[in-house]
Amino acid sequence: MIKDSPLLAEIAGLGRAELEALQLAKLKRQLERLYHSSAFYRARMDGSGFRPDSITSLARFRETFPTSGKADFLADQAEQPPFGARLSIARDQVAMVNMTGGTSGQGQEIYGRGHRDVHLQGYLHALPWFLASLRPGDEAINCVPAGGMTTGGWGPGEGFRISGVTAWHVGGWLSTDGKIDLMRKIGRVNFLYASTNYLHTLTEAVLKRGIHPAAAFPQLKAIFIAAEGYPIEWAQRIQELWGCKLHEGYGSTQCAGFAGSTADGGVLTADGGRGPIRLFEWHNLIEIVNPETMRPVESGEVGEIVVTNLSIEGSPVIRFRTGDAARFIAHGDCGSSLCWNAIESGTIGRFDDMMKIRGNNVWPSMVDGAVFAHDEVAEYAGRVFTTGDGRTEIEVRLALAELAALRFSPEDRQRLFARVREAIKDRANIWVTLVEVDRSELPEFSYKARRWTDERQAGYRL
Amino acid sequence: MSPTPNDDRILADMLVQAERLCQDADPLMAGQYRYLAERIRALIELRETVISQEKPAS
Repeated sequence: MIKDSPLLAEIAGLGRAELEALQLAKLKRQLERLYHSSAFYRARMDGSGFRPDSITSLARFRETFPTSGKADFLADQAEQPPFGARLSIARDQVAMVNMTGGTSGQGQEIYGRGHRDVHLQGYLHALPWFLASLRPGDEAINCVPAGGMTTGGWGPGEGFRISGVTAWHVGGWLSTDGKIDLMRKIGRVNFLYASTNYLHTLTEAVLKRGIHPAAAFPQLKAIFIAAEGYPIEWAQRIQELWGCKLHEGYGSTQCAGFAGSTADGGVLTADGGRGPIRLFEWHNLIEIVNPETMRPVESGEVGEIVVTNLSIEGSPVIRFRTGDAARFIAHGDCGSSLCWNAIESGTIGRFDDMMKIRGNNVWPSMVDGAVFAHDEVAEYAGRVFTTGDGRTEIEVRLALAELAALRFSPEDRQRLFARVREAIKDRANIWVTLVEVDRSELPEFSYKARRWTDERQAGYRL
Repeated sequence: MSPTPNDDRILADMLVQAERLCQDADPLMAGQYRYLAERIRALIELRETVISQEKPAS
């Protein structure tokens, strides 16, 4: 709860004008510093006629400061390896190196963080967890694989450490059954952090063992997920099964942690709708823009998330185009007096994940929503391909959950498949071919799911 | 120049201040202040060259 922390209560007590004044002051300080410490950003400012001391409003900043993207950072790194000229702290002050995951196939951005930034990265994990009810002395289970080079690997460890809790970093190290065994041994599990799809896998495994999660872990206060979208029916089911609130955060390496979370409300509103992910706007300036016009979208519209770090010093991003797609919710439409803007929970996707199929813009999250709205489905994998006569086909391989796989008759299966097929058509406007496979034929994802392959180009090979 | 005695004094003073911060009632800051205090205690420990020989209470 916000009111539990005097610091947060003070921030929450700021009016919108006061919050924007704080953002502007922090932005000025950041830009002034970068003009003198980063050749990359100085060149961008000089090239666009922008001067840090000329900034008089956030609107003027948005209108005049050029955006950057992944390609700009990769070019900068290639020119001045390894960090590029955007590092902006002394090379010998780099205490942690973070790299993006490389899933785009274009290359990995490299970020150099100082000790101050490392703490802030931890704080930008601890803050949303605090809002979700994590408190000193709690026992927390971290199912996200720890370590490596990513912020998602290091930030949680730092966040749990400075939260004053006991954290069990079981992600990527223990099997799913091993995690369940450990959780039962610990007994008093208060908090669970996992990617969306791993929570699905864990829940599936718990149920398969005949364990009722709410009864087995009665002291669980909150589950916190990130990384992927989900259907609202799935969120409701998760809350029923585990007997606690489900929370979600939006974050990335570029945000140096979480840029926002469902705060203390959770992913479901009182009337069963999708809760807002409130943005921590005093640490990151977040714009949601139309990716073609770069104009801010209206409340309720989907746009691209553009990030400016206000607090981070090492390798900060200024007006970085994330490629993430989110529905903007202005603070006035969030249903409370809190003046932090928000994005819709459960529906964040990627503009570059979009597949153009038979003239439709299809995001994997749309199909995720349609498929996982059915409890009887455990997992799926999709494949788009071209047939010998040049037609585009979409095949979705479905694995049923344990009980459904055992008990469903052929007629039950037929009815379920028809419902799933209709749901996909309804949400993504495509008809797909459904094929049932055994659960063991589909992978388990420990972090971000990769459920789709696009093999259409292979169909054009001669 | 040997900064050692001064460093030790500064760290001892910092620990006193950090422990005062730990009395703060804000649960959002509590873990962070404890983390700070324990880091200072670690620096004091690793700089320690003489163990005080106090007689155990009988």
